[in-house]
Amino acid sequence: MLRIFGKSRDKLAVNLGSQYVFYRCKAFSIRFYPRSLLVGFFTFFSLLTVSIISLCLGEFPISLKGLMLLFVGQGSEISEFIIFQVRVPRILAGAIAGFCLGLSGAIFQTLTRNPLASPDLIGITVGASLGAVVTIVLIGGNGLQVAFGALIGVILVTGSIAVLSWQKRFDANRFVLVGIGIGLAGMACIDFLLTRADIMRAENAYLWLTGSLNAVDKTKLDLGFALILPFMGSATWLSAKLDTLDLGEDVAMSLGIKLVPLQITAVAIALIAVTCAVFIAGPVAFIALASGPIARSLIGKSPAIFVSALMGSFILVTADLAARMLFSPTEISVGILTSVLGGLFIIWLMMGQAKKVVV
Amino acid sequence: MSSEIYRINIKIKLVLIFTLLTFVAFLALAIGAQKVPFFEVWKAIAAFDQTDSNHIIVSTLRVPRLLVGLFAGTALAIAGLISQTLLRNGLADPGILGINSGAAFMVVLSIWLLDFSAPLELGMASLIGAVISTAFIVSMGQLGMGRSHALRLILIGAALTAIFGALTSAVLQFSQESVNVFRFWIVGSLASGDGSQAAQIIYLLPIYSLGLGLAIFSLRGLSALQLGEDLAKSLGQSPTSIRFLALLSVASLAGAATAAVGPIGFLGLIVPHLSRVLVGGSLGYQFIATLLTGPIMLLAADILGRIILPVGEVQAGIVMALIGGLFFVFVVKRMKVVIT
Repeated sequence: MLRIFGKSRDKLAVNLGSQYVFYRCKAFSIRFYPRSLLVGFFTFFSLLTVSIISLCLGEFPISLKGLMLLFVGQGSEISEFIIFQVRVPRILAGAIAGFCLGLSGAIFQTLTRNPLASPDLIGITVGASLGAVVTIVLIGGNGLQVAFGALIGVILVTGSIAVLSWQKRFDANRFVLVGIGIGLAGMACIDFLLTRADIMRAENAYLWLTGSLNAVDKTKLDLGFALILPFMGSATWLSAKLDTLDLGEDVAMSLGIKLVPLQITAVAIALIAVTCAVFIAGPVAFIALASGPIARSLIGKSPAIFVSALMGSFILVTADLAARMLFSPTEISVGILTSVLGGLFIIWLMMGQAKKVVV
Repeated sequence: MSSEIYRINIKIKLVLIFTLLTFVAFLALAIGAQKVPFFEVWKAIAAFDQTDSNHIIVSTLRVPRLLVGLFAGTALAIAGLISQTLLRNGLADPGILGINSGAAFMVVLSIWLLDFSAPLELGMASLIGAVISTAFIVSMGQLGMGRSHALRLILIGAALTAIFGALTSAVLQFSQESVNVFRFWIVGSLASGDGSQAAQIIYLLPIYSLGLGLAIFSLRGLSALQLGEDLAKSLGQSPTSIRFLALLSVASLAGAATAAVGPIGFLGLIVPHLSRVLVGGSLGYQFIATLLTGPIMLLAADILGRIILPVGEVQAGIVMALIGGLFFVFVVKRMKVVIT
């Protein structure tokens, strides 16, 4: 990847064989991967397509023509309500939450160099859930209070995992293992709190714990909108930086990457992303886990943080559509569907891994 | 000469552990929201007086609870021992590997879809769930060319726990009436308030005995397997059948325990380690030590859960999870090389 090849005085050097494009202008050079951009655009357009389909389908189907009329301002009142008050917020929330989940999953997977190390499995999402459940059950909070609680939960839990897994230096594998242990203990705490809550809150909480886009309201969307641009920016930036980590920590350090600040920043971004996603949609399973590997299998070797995040959006919006339509007229929560799919995905991943010796 | 002393040493330790077990059992009968003095406990057992309220508490509430604790404690601890030996992974435990979650899911599913309610039916469902999960874990463990990779195995277990947990929540969405029952079962409690759990145990005994019997039967094979596959074969053991029997034993024990008390994790993790450190010796001695220490741990967790809060109690499963989580971290820290 770092081969400086060809005529270095060229402004634009292309080598599709090794998959990157190199543009140099005076002292600056930008390196980007055409394939990554291609897949990114493809994912984005798929996302748009699915969103439009999702706008049309549902209990009150609306034709494309109806949609167009709506945008010109001549749609019926029912369609206006359904589209703008129900479906658009839902899809937007799904896209944002999916982006956050894909982002955080890809970050953790890249940092630990382990495709199975997603925030769902290593206790981080549990931290967010725990914070949220504590806020709902013990304090009776709602809205942004819950988000705040979730954030505190995430920080405390991840902090504990980091502290407990620290042994002279950061070890990714130990971090993952400790995370699993803490995650299990955390789930037990959540279950315990749910036995102490009154039945109505408990029912709501169990519903929430699967992850669903049913309860999207203005607060959630606002938070999402506020954070999405910073997330997108950091995703792009991280893609570039974490790219070099792939070569190994020592090589990256000798190339001038400041390892620890980078790791800390990346983790911080991932944590905020998890909190945001959990606040909007609850702990939807396996999006964080699957987006990264899927994106990477389409692109090639680069960590592809941004594309993974986009893939997360796409998967979540599609899953939500499927969850709404599959057992029509009953709607199931998105989290159930993703859990089942995620399970199958893990099996597939494992069978692929089994052929290699090292994970 | 020294090996004789070694063996006598072990036997003395086992006797000590047994004494500890009786003591803890006694405590389990005495401690609770209503403290029953020790002497009364003794009288309740020896000379039961129907009119004495203390005696009634002991017999209707505490004794069933004790029996359940003995049942689940032994089952889970032995399941942990066998899985740790079979998978050669010090972090293996039916809860962590997702076996209990699988069993729990099957129970909830069968209640919802098939209207199961009799303990025998639930026990069967639990067993099937446990078998599915165990088969999965063991096959994944074997795919690493005969050696299990610590990290990967645990991750798969975490994934299985997550999947089954989510699926269970899914079932709950469809049958909201059962949320109230479910949420008290999922935390792993030794008490069902009316002693009915103890009655259920009778129906689970067949599965439990199957598991325990298979475990005892596999001990020799597992010790041989510890030396390596080729050596085991040369000793006349068939690795495949050993693994199969051990798998079935873990599934049966975990299934029986989960059907009785709900999914309780970490017991199978901690107890084998403790028994190895405290008693040591061959697998046979470890088996006995684990058999005795398991209930001690579970009953202790239950007792702790009763006294720790001013009002109400913390279920044994929760206490185990909290202690177990820390213990898990402790074991991870002690592992010098984390094999991927």
